[in-house]
Parts: sequence; C-alpha cells; structure tokens
Amino acid sequence: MPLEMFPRQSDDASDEDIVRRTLLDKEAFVFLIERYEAKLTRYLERLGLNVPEDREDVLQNAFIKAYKNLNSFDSTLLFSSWMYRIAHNEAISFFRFKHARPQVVLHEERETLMTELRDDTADASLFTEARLSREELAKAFQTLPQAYRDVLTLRFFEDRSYAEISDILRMPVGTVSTLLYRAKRALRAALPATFSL
Amino acid sequence: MTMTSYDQQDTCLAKRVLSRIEGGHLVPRPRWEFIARNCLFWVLSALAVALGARAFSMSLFEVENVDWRLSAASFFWIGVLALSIGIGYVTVRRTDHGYRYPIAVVALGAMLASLALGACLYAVGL
Repeated sequence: MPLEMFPRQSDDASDEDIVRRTLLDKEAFVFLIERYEAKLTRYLERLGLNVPEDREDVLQNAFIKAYKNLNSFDSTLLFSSWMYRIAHNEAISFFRFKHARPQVVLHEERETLMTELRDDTADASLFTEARLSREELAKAFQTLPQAYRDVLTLRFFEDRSYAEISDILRMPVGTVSTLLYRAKRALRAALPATFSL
Repeated sequence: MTMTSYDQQDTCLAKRVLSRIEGGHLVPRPRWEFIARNCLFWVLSALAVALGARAFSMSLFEVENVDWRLSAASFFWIGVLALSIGIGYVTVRRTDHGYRYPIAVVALGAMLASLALGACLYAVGL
C-alpha cells in the first residue's frame, strides 16, 4: 500500500496493512501497540504475571521483539496469533529466568470455564447446584501442568479457535485438541470432591 | 481510544516502546534472513533424508552380502538411519509451518522417504 493511501483514520486499517506501513514508517507501530496493549496485558495476567511492572516489562519486550521481527510475520497467519505467540514466549522466558511458577488468579473467567466443564459432564445438575468459589477453581487450575493451563487459557478465556491456538503455541491442531481434552479432565479431577464428577 | 493520527498516540507503553526503538536505533531484521533460515531448515531436512537413504542402502548391502547378525556395521547403519529420521523430524518442525504437521506424519514421512530413496540407491548399486 503506498504511503499516501494509508488511512489516517487507522481504526479501519487491517493489522496486516499496519504491519506493511510500519516497515516504511516506524511510528505506525503505535497503532498496533494501541490495538493489542489491553488484550495482551489481560492475557499475560491470565498466564500468571500478576505484578504490573513485570507485566509491562514483558509486554514492552514482546512489542520490541515483534518490531524487530516484523519481516518474519507470515501473512497466512492472523497477526493476532503471531503477536500472542511472541507475548506467550516472552512470558515463558520471564518465568524461566525468574525460576518462578506462574500464580494464576481467575476473575470473570470462572463462569466461562465452569460452563465448559459443566457441558462435558454426565450429570450437569450437580454442577449447577454446587457453587465453586473463584479461589477453589484457581487453586485447581494452578495444579495443572503449564501445557494444560496454556490451552485452557487460550480456548476459554481468550476465545481462540483450535487453529489459532495451534499457531500461537506452535503445535498441530490435533495436539491442541488432545491437550484440551486432557486439560479439562485433569481440571475436573483437581476440583474438590463435590465437583469431581 | 480512537486512533486518528500519530500525534495522538501518546499512551505510556506506546511512547516507551517507540523511544526504545529510536534510542536503540532498532530496525526490523531483513526479510531475506528469515527466508534463508527457513530454506536452511528445509535443506537440513533433505540432507537428513539423504543420509537416512544412504544408511538404509548400506544396511541392505550388509544384509545381502555380509552375515548381518555378526556385523557391527549393520547396527551402525540402522543407528544412522534412526538418527537421520530424528534430525529430519526436528528440522522440519523448525521450518515456518512445520509445527502444523502431526508428529506421526513427519516422522513417518522422513522414514518412508529415506527407505524409498535408500532402496533406489541400493537398486542402482550405490
């Protein structure tokens, strides 16, 4: 897209257009930062980055890395998947560097996940009657292996499709599907006895 | 927030990221680097298959011409074949879209390609 044709009102520009524009003019990168800052902040928090300063450091590094690697962006992927992948990898690197295990805090996501677990159970009424506290769910979620938490977070909290999760986590779609199945089963098993159906 | 012009992009994070880009004189890495990297992994995959083919061809030769039960060379070539399949799998996974292929498909593909090419090499006496 020629420079003069780039919409000044960038709400309408696609991510891919902004990427092309950024390669010509670095200031256009601001539009992408604006577009993804809130989403990625929320995602990093869901991954267990609870300290705002740490979260912002990771986010800054993710955007810098994205800028430096803009030419590797593959237009057959969604830009959002590519950006989530970079943020995800930065978060994992951060936890490794700090030798820290992510501390997951669940907020409004609780209901989404509960609905999903309920749909898969034989006796839904037990789930409906029993109320599970946010802390109980977070505690059970915390016990899951990282790979399980990653797929559950992307699928149920970030509303990503299987194909998008495959692109973000760099694994085949079939593996995503298997991991999700196992993750839900593991989460049910980790819930208090009342909820383990 | 509505984005209307660069001048209005003044959130803290965006400012900080831009100032780091400007301060560090950062520029996007050239596209050819990524294309070359991707090609390198495909070439390595092809070399792994070629090595596997050679190993299979040598194994066939050992089986046909030497008492393979006593031959350490047979086991050596079978080991090389297994290693080349492993290398082929790892290198394909490192290509741009390699992660999309299921493990079984990649490993089986590398093995079948090695076996087919190896059988051809043996048939023509190489």
